[in-house]
Amino acid sequence: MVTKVDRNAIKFNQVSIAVVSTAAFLADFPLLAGLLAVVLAIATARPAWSLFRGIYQRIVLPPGWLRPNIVDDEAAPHRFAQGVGATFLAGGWIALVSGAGAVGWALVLLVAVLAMVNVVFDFCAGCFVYYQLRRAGLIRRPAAQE
Amino acid sequence: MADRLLVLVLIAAGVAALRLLLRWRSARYRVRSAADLVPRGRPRPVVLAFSTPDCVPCRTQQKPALQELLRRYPERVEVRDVDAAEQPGLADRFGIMTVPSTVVIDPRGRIVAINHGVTRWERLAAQLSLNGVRPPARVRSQGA
Repeated sequence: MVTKVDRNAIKFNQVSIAVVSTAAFLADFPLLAGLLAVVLAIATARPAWSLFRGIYQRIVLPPGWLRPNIVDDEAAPHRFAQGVGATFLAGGWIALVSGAGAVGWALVLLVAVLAMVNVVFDFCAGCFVYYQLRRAGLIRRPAAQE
Repeated sequence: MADRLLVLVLIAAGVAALRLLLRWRSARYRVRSAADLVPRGRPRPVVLAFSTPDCVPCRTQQKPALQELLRRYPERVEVRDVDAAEQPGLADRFGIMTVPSTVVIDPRGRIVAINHGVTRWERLAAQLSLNGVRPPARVRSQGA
């Protein structure tokens, strides 16, 4: 469903995710990755409770550091992508506390890299994967469009 | 800490290398002719806009950018929507790897650029030299 979406809020969210994930890796602080997973899971379930959205609206917007960029968009895919990010981060945190450091940090950094690629290059990794799976015949067209 | 910084540098280098690889791949497809896709009676640039019905960025980001391009340069460019899932042959012809993607073809049928991902109207106009801004000679394709 098309609605009004602040694209700068989405970009701020993505940059925040990348920064916190990278900081967790640099500081070798798995708990931070786990906390980020919880923050994203909450934001996915209840967007109004999003921590980064709150920071954007209460701290970043008032002084004019960023200005809203309101466009027609669909919120659902962004929430879905955030949910996927939360899942990867949770998986990474579980791997880290289980002693699988390489796998855990790989999952955490994957979230950071994909978020930054989207911000910097406008490249939707989810779209890429979906398109390739569909070309490979692993995803069928919706019945209504066949 | 130093080893972790090194990992980050390597990841950044990897992303940059992937981007260069994609650019090189696009360049290989760009040497082919697309003269058959240029309108015959009145040759003008063509932008092929590859999308799929379920691609949200195609609808919410790429389509408005293409509409803005047409609004600013009516009669000077033609935009054709292509369902990449319906026409896989055409998508393969240009090495389309994701949607949205745009293929920019000049009036002589030369492929000027193959853009993977959302491309803003300003960039498309520059690739077609419509806005007086000529793109750098070697930087005419983008992607991750």
